[in-house]
Amino acid sequence: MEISQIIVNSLIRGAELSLLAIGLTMVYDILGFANFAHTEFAAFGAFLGFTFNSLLGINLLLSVVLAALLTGLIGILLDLSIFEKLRARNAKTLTMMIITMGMGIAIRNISRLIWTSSTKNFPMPLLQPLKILGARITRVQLGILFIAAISMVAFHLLLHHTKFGKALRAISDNKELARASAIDSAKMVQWMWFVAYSYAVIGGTMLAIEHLLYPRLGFDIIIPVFCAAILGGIGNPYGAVLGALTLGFAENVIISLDFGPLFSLGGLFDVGSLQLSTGYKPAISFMILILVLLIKPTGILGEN
Amino acid sequence: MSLLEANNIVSGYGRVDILHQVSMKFGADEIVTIIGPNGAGKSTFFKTVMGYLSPTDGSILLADEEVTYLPPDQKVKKGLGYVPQLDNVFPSLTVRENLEMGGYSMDKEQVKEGLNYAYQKFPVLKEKKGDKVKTLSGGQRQMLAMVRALMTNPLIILMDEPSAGLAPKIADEVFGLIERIHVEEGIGVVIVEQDAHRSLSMSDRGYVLAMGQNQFSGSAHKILHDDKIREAYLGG
Repeated sequence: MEISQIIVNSLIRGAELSLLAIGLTMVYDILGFANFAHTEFAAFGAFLGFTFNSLLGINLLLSVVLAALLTGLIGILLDLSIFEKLRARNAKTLTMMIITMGMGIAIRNISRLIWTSSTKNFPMPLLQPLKILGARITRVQLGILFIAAISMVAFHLLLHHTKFGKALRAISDNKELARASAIDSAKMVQWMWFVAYSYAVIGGTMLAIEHLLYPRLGFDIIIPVFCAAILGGIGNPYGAVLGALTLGFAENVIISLDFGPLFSLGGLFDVGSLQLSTGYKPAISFMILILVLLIKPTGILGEN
Repeated sequence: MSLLEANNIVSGYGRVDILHQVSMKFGADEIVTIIGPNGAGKSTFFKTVMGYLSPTDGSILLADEEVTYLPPDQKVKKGLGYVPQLDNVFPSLTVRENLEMGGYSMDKEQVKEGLNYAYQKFPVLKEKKGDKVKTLSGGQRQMLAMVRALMTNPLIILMDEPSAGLAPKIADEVFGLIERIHVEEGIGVVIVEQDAHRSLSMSDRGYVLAMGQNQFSGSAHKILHDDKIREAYLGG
């Protein structure tokens, strides 16, 4: 495979994982637990977008925005009805985590109930891919990269140039002091859920557009998304992006490697070309994660 | 007249009471120091007054209004300022952002005015406004912590061990700063302090807290010169 093609594929994978990992890492940072339902909501939102787009005939971009906003609102409602009450009772991290696991199963099966288990395709026009420096890239993929880039810039601006973003960083730094500054933490946490799930839906829809949409999508991507967040340093949104890109490149580079020469022992045996099946992608995620954590246990950008 | 009153406070962590019927009063026109041995409940008292801990008995009045069970952010809005011990700034935020967080409940204009006022009074913060807090010295950090609390427009400020972890010379500067804030801004100051001599010598009054109970209260001068208290709590 052309190097340029590997780069394009890696960037796309990295972009999709980034948008998913940002929310996961934020929830962990602010609330202190891993949200196992995170990617399930991404898939649920992708289904909503699919419904708006292919069944109601709404423009794709608008459908995704609507789905992201709706799923974000669901995030706020769930915080108000469940997580806020548990926080008030000082529920343990483990309790929270198990609740998100249950929530994940519930939301996956709700998707199955509404949209059935059959796989869906976003209706995309079939167009000749463009050739850029030898790499083939479809217009949809270009769109994905473009929207991912805009989303990242928007996220950075949100964190550093809005009152909400600064307050969220303040809460992340020191919850007690944030309260002593009259920051309304409960409201900030609700908006954080909104942003986390909205971004997850954008990432989830991108994955669904590129591959397939089915109720188990959320479950299937949970490992790489967790790996990306931990790899970059859990709790750090920039780390999540870096972790996702690292993972995207690692997966695509290792998948494209030909291990044939290695096993032919310098041409002694003819083993032809040996490549890893793409089914091993999750294993690659884990390998990279283990290697990085062995060298730097806090992740790439994580602090002690 | 007292601005902040704590009456017969019983409070602690979980089912363990640390404070047993503690009562104190503080005015806007005075600096008051609370002294007592480690574990006497000084920080617990502050945390209860601020609303981080809920008292199981007793009441807290701020400007004659009962605020006993209000959460910290509500109390801050009503004029209670707080500078916690050590972790009292937002390390990953810039100096300016730290001050902006202090003015979180204000509108844009008020924050702008507050920032200008703070920069004019404390030029070092203006010089460093774009820097991350990590680059500040210990004394500058403490200054930022206090000015962040000032940005909330308090009537009275609680300061938990302002000299903790600071070299004696820097601690002197910090105490000078507290006096300055009290005089120039007309804000009441309550200090919990290990360096009791230094703190009492600039205070009007003092309280001695031991084993979660009021042991003594009186003028700072009296506490500093009372032989028994000196021996028991001020290291002779």
